[in-house]
Amino acid sequence: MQRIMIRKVLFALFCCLILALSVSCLRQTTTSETATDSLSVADDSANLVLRVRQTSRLYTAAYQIHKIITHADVKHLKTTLLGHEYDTQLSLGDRKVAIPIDVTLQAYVDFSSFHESQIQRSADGRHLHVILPDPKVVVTSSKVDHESTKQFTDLLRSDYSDEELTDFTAQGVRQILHQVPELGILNTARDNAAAILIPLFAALGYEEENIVISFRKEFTSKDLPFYYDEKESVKL
Amino acid sequence: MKKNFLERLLSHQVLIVVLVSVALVLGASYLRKHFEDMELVSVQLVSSNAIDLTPTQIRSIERIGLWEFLAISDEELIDTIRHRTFQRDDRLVRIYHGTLRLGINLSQCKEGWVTTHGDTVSLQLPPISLLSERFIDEARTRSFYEQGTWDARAKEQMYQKAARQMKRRCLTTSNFRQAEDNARTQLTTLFRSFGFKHVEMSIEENTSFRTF
Repeated sequence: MQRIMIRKVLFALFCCLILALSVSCLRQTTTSETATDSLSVADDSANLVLRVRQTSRLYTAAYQIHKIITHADVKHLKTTLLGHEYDTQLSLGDRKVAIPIDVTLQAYVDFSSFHESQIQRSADGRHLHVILPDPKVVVTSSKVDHESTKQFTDLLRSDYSDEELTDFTAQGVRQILHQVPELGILNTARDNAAAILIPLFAALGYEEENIVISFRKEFTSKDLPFYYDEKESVKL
Repeated sequence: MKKNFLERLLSHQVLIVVLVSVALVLGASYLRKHFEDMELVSVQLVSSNAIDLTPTQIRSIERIGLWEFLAISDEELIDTIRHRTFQRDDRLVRIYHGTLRLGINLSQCKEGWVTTHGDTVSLQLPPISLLSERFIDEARTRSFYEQGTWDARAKEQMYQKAARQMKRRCLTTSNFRQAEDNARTQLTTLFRSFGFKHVEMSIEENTSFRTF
């Protein structure tokens, strides 16, 4: 009887050992982290608080943009089993927020590097062709309508923190920036620059119909880094 | 009675255990080797911090003629506190970012503000001023510390306080003078590139704007 008991105990121990070896052969991860998709705002607190720059920028177009930023925070349980993924929405309670923002986009022509090689005159001196620098877009101001901001949270969830709300605002402005080519602000900036500068050049002795103003490039959304001045606003 | 094959096999318990164990280990190694890049088992609780894709509305399009000569980027730390009797005080600390732009508004130029006499061009410019009263980029605001719940009124008051502090810090006589000097330099260079040897410039004095 005793020998049978000993054999059974050894058998059980042996099974446990084999099971442990098998488990260690499998790559198993069990996590309960919360994944975040947002880009963090760069911490530039090490920069100077006050930065003064001498510039020569002619702002020719201003767009007042209104947007309602929304976010729905729903928890999901994502499981992976032998290469198959399963996504289950959990009923832990929802929370939602709607943040109205007003953004001012302005487009400018930068004259700080303007050179006389960008001015072409005809031989008789009557015709003038000016090649202007490509216009750039900058966010000159953005304002959250705190009064109209609405939060909806279930009993089991906490309110959105101020940090989360400011992160959503930054994401909203980035969304606007990616739509800049579709807004047409660059074309408007070019047209307005011509409308402002042609009378100015005409005062220098040229006839308006003999003045041509051109720009170098037609921008698309892929050129965002070339025409968006991110030094003064949210990073892309 | 002769035992059949199954009974004889089942009577060898140790042998069965060994065979099953070897099969498990070999199977696990095979799975690991051939599906190394595949996550075999994982469980994650996720929530996305990405906002929804929503429409962008253009409220207005303006033609403006603002010539900027000095840009001052400023950050201000603004905090507000609400005292409580029996609990820890509520506090909200935010860092606001703004850029104040000094320059001239071409719409304020008088008729005939540019005149030429031979190789000389004369300019009569309006005063250097703050180009826009809205200069804070709230999208760059950082929430530094939060304790308690804060309503829209409190955040609006913090925004206004940040604007006042930025104006106080940036709208100095020195900065206005620097903007004016830069205007003279930049416009002189611009008009000289058109072939004018002399550029005469007069900039109106800013009497309506309060400097600090």
